[in-house]
Amino acid sequence: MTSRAARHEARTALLLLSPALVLLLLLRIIPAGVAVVESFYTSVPGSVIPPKWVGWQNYLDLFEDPGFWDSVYRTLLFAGLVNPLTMLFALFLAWLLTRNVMFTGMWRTLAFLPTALPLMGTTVVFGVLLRPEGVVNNLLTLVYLPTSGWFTDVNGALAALVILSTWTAVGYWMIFLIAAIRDVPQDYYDAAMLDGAGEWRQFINVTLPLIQRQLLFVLTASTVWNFILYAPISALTKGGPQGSSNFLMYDIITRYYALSSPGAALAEMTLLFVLMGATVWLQFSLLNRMRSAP
Amino acid sequence: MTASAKISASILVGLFFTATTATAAAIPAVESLKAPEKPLTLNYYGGAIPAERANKIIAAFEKQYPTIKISYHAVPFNSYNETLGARFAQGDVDIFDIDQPQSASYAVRGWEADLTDAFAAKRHLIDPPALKESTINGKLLNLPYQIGTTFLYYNKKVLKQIGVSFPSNKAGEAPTWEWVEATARKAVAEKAAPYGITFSTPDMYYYIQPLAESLGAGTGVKGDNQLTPDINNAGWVKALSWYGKLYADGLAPRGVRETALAFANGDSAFFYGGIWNSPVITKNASLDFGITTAPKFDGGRDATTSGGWALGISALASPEKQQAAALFLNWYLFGENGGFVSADPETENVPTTDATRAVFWKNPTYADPRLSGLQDILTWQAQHSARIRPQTVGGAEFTQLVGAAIADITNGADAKKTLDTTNAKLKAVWRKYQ
Repeated sequence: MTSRAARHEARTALLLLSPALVLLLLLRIIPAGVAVVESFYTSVPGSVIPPKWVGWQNYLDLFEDPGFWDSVYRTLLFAGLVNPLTMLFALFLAWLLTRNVMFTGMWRTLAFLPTALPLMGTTVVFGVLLRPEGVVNNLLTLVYLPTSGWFTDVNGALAALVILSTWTAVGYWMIFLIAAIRDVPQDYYDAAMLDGAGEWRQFINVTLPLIQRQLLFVLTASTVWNFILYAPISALTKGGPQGSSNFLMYDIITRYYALSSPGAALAEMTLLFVLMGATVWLQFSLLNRMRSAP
Repeated sequence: MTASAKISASILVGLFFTATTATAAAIPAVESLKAPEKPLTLNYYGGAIPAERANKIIAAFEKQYPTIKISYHAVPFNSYNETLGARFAQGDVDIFDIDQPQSASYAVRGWEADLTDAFAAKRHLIDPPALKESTINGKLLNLPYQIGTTFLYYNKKVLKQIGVSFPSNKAGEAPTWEWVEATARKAVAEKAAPYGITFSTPDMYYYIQPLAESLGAGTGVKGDNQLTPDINNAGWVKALSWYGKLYADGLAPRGVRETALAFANGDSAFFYGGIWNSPVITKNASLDFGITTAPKFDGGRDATTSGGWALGISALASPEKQQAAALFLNWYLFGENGGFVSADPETENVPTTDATRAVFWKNPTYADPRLSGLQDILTWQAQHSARIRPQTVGGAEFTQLVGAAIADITNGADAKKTLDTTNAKLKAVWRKYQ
């Protein structure tokens, strides 16, 4: 009886999930498979010339291209800076806005606003604010702080993109973490308080361990999101100056369209996929280790 | 067979395919063509002008040829080649706008029908540099209808303030870049203007090519098949070192894209741009400015930008549609009363024939006395100093990589090192065509 019920439940689940599964297959898995297959071919985009099978050549060419390795390095550097920063700010805001502060709703709305605005709009505003003679540099000069060429400077461009990406994402991830913090039962805090734990101790010993799963989700999703960031780079830096913001996703699209090398671009996309998978796997295993630690 | 040999073979097959397609679909002389008896609809993919203006032009054509209907599809410039590629793959392109330097690259993709016979009796009416840019291996592959030529705007108030006399507005009497630099330096030093000089699009090959050409450095591409990069030769390094120094010394602004507006606001002593910038600049009625022929380096030769939009006919369209399309192209450039120009008085680029130009110059914008000399300067430049861009199948890659190099140089990268790297990158991405 039990197994029949289980089978029935499984069938129902499959039935209900099938539209989503079909869409997943059609829109994600099959195109990804086609892209991987095409990475073994070379062709001229849009051409009447048929694609040619070249085996691993596209991959070997990439491995020999210093520009590709530079791109991998810049992508990892960007990911290493932007994801922890986004997490920290989102967590801090979520913690702050679950305290009993005045006008909580208004603060939350304000913190979420950059996410609600279209990314291109924010990008354009950042482009104007961070001009060499723009508002930000003028303000920095007023308070005697060093200025930067931002999008025209090798280090400035990376810093500006980290700030832009963090700015637009923090509000979004904050919402998840607010929900997570609100789910922590009040009893734990009461017990901690009875043991004499202050705000900081409560946060470290109660809140953090109990929102680990949501933190992992935020970290993973943020990592994936930042690995495929394209629009701000296309609008503001075009991968420059001197390749400093030529992250893999931008490089892939440039190779495909501007450099007319779809095969090489799709090989690079496959490698990006592997890199993303490895990074996410690393995040999962680190967190599992943290969880199993005494 | 190695991978690169296989790719070369495929390109050769493609070229052969292009040649045979073009031969099979040779369009007869337009003079012998008649409008179809039954209504026929052609798909026109364009990127040169906004859809409403294109539709006005089409309406004027359809009035004369009621059996030919043209359905216009506007394509954004930023994704022009990709979108067109996708449309060709679907097989629904009959007529298309083509950015001239892409002529060779579209040809290798097998998109362009051969127009040599169709316009054999009329092509001599087109300005020679424009015609040359549309002719690949002796075949006319598209019909150039406008030329984008740049010249120099200068702020009279600024020059007066620093005691520098105005340059000549006579066609062909070009100032030198050395004079422009010295004047710009003086203007900035004496705080007469925040910027000494601004460029219409600071990091596009198109605008910078004349600097190197003026030094005799060529287009940056050499070889019979135009697939040997030569962007790091001494002339190019010298030209771009000079250009980079303008930015390093604070004479030209880094990171400013609305350069025409900066000049219009009186923030720049000079502006190197085109006639398409004039509506923005003349809008400021209180701006006292003049124009002069595009500068050249001291001892160098006159060199100005060239190339613009052209019209192509799909090699994949049926002969019936190709012939109807040829009638459209013929009306567009050679039609009575200046063809497309009379239907689109807002045309902001100089057209490529005397007849179209005669109508073009009637536009009241160009009668602004501050633009005095414009007509003679542009006509002279189009016919004497226009340097065409490389006619290479690797045009798309070239534009992208050289543009990125110029951007890096304006932002402080060493010109020699950057151009060496770019040359190596071009060699690598063009290997597939060798």
